[in-house]
Amino acid sequence: MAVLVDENTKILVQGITGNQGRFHTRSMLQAGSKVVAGVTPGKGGMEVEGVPVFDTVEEAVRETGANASILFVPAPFVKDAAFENIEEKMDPIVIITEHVPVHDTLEILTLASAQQVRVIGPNCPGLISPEKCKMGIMPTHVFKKGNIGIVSRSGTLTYEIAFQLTRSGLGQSTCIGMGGDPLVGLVYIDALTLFEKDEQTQAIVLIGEIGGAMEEEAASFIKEKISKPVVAYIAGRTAPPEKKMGHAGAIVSGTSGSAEGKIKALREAGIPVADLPSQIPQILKELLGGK
Amino acid sequence: MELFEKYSIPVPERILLEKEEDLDKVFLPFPLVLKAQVAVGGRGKSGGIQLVHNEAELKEKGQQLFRMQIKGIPVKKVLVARAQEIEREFYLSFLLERKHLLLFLTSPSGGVEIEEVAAKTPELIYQEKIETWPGFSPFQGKKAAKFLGLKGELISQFSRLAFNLFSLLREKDLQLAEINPLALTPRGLLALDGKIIFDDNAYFRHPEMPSDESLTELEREAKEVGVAYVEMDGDVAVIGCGAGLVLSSLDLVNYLGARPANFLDLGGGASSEMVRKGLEIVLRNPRVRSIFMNIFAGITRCDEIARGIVEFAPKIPISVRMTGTNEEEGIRILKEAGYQAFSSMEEAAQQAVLLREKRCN
Repeated sequence: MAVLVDENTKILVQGITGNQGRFHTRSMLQAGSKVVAGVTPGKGGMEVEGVPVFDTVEEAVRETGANASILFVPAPFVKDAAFENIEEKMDPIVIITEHVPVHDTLEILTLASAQQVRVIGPNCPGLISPEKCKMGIMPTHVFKKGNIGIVSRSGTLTYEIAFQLTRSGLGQSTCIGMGGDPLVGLVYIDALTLFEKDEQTQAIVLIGEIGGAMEEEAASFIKEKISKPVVAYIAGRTAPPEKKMGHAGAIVSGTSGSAEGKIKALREAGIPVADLPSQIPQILKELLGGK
Repeated sequence: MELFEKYSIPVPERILLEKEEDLDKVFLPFPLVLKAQVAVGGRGKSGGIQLVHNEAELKEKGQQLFRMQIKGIPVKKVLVARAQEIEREFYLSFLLERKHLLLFLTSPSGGVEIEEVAAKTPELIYQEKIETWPGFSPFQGKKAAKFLGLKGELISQFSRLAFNLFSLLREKDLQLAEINPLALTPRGLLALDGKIIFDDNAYFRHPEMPSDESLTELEREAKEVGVAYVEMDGDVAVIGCGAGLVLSSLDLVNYLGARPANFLDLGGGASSEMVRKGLEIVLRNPRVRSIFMNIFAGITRCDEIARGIVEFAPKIPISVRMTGTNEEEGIRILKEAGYQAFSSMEEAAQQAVLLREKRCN
């Protein structure tokens, strides 16, 4: 099972001829992903790592049956590339690129939701269903197939925690990096909904950080809708206040965006919150063992 | 304020002073309001806003403002504006926000921070999600004007003004466009003060927009080098790759009973040169007594990081955690050069905390 991506995902890499696109295409192929097409306007007819390159997404889909896209194009061109993929109903569309203008993201997310396709990112590491499909830039060896779902706002922290799980013998169903921008496509509650329905997933790790109000929102959602055990970790307890913006979401919901506020909301919803990443495997084992 | 003017949002007559001596160049009629220009909230409470009635007061209060710091940020500019006869004060903003994407906020309780209004009297906040397309229409402003209790001609005036503020947000790539307070004066509505947050990522299409002024000298320099740096008040410097893991590393230092001196994110795939620059930046802070470097290498290479450390040869004790791509090589390079290297993040942090204590004695 797993969520969003699996052995049936046929990946299109947009921006495949650039350094990043090329490097990660190789790495995704090595991880066993089915990368079937690349797109770079003007480079149609080439091959990268044995993958055929097309000028347009439409052509690539027609020729290869690609059904999901990952974007490595430079920030100023992301909006148009994303629109092109939305038009072709690619799902999910993973936007790795950082520094995408937030007004471009606004338009991408608006169009995607109208066309009912899911966007992950921007500024995210992508996602991986270990030993089935990697659609992202994470180090493959850190992950192992299993029954824990991970959803996170941070890339490196996801690797850290997945690695600790793997070393403790806890494999993962799917690990999703949502991205760190103020506006991102897929969020906790979307991932939680998918994990709840997924047969392979038996427990969920939610990795959060300061800013915004997403974790608080997730806390009440878990309490009402999620029956599987969830363990949370929130980074940034010691972060200085007033240093970063991005609290607009928090203003609206009346929270401060602080780590304390998030930890409190999660604990009040009955969700264990680890103090350190290294405590997560033990908490998971207790929760799963008790079942 | 210039941007407000460009978008036909009425603002009071005013002059922006960039140095103390400019206080002599103020020729506006008294009374005047002096406002320290700093990019942090709550400056009214910190004494950053002063009312003056004559030349002597202008000099005295003006000098005070130029010599003060607000929440640690020195005041470099002071805005002098004609004091207005204020009947009422409102709040008005547009912002990009995850849940609603585009949000329109207004409140009859202006002149205070909106966070405070949200916490104490949420019923005084009017909010509406705005569709990306077609965007904000003046009729939506009229509904809000009724909520604010505006009547007659002021209803259209408010909705026009809101429409202009929305255009400013969209056309200039702002994450926030805020007028607070929006004052009702005998001359109509006037934006007495405001705040915009420009999206740095859109700089390529708005080279005219100013850069963030709330950064300290060192933070600005770090930004130019391409690393994210935030100064803190402790003595253990923290360096890593990836914001989430660095945040988590700060928490770990704190958990072990020490205080972090900074946040420094080298980003993914850092070169040995980046490592040297990062070390140089954190060590410019004289409080630093030890360094905790936490590297979980995905696209980053441990050997590259290790080379950067050895080349820089920090004079302050350093403890490094390394795992991931080329881990063995990285640890070997460090150990050969006599540095502490670990594969667990907790061991490395513990060591950094110990090294710092040794230096205390």
